[in-house]
Amino acid sequence: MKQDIEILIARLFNETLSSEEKERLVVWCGESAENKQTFARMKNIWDAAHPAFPAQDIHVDQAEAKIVRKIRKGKRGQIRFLVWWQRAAAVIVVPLLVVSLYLFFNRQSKEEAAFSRQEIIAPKGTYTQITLPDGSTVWLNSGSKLSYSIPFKKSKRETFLEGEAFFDVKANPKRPFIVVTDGISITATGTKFNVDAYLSDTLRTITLEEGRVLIESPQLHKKTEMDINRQFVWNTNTDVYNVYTVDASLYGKWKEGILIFRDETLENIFKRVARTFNVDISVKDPALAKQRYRATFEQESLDEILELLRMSAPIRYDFNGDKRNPKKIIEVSRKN
Amino acid sequence: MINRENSGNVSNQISFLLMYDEQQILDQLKEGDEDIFLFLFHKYYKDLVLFAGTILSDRRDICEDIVQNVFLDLWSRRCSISIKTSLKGFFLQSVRNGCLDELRHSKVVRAHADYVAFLGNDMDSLTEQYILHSDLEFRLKEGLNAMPEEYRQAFELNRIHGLKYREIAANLQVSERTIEERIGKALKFLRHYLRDFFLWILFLLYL
Repeated sequence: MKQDIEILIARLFNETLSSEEKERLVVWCGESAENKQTFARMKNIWDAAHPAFPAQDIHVDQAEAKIVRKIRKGKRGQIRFLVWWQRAAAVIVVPLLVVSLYLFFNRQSKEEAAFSRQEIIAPKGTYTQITLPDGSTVWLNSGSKLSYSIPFKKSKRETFLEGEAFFDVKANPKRPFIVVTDGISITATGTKFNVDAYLSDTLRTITLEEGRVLIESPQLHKKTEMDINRQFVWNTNTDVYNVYTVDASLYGKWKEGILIFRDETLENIFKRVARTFNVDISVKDPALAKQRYRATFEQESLDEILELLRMSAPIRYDFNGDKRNPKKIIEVSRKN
Repeated sequence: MINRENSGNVSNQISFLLMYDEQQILDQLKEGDEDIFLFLFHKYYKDLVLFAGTILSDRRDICEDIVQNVFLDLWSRRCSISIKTSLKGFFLQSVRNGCLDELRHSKVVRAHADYVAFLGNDMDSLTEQYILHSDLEFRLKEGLNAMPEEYRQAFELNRIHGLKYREIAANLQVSERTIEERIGKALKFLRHYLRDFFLWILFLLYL
């Protein structure tokens, strides 16, 4: 009997097990804890003897270098890619701007009893956190612009976005929160979501991390309702839209200085890296641009990111900027 | 340092020794000793990546990501962490959790589902005695070293270097029949030597 079962298990690993035999094996495994244990032990040894990939392909030293760099970096700081004076400037200027504009418009609105427009821009290579008059929080990514009226209208809280922003909306069902971007209108009550709609890109992507939103656009025949972990992608070139299921928490990580790519094309990876560091990166080889990679960058510098990508993809890169800023223009091509 | 486990069946004595030494290792970790941390990294990294590979199969990059995160997490939580099992058990469990998370995210149906069907999710009982790739390698090497030189040579040329019987025979200037015999003897020797924990695997691999 035992011998018999061992042969079945062997066939399972060898993928030559028939469906009746499989049935028998499942029954046998369910019979006792001891049988289960035997199976687990055999699978263990089979796994150890038949690795999914060659052990020589695992480079412990490279991995060690990566780990050491990460642990030496110590605590995960905030916006690391800004130099200290930019950080200081951001800390001082943004609240100052908000307060002075608020005071200014407040005075004006009292005098004129009218709504005024507020506009906030995140300079390229930086991102900015804003608190809106209703207590909602918005993070504006590099080169993006958000505008809204102060105060919000009584009936709705309306904002206009160009670029990318993450919204953490204070709940208020009576006054819907609306984001308008490039013809799309997103209605929320209390939710967290990311909107990626740079006019220079072809895709408009809305990713819902919490709650529920309603999407309207002239291109859509009906309103589309979205739940948690759903992602709405509209391709402005083809005018086709799709809704996917994703891990939404990954899409707002940029606001913590973390770049996460899951099976993303090199083209898109470089696009995002370029935006984050305010440089131009062009991928010369179209086939290369379409290759997909996974990567996570936490507080790495531009040089470190390029180096890491060079180690894992068949690429080389050249700095082609001018003397003053040699890294402003980067060309990526296939490694020979 | 840690006593190397050579077989799946760790006797009580050895496991006591192991726990004792591991306590010292953990104490040093808590004090922020990077050398000890890197020692653990070197000792377990490859095996853990291969272990992750048993769940996520072909995605080596993800497997490496997961194992690296387990180590980073150990380092950043080293002061507060309490490890009730052995370090090996802790690592295996953490890597398995990381892999299962990944499976949940990627929603791709994989061969792993088969094993879950057989075992349910409780494989915990095995972690302490889990045989790592390097354990197997070590044991095999030991076995090879213990056998007569002639057998070992023929066996290695065939199984490790991938030479055909005819080529080996020409190389060693003996008949093909002799090579056949030597490899057969080598297998028999190994089967006996390794019988305590993988008699049957050789039966699968070589018969």
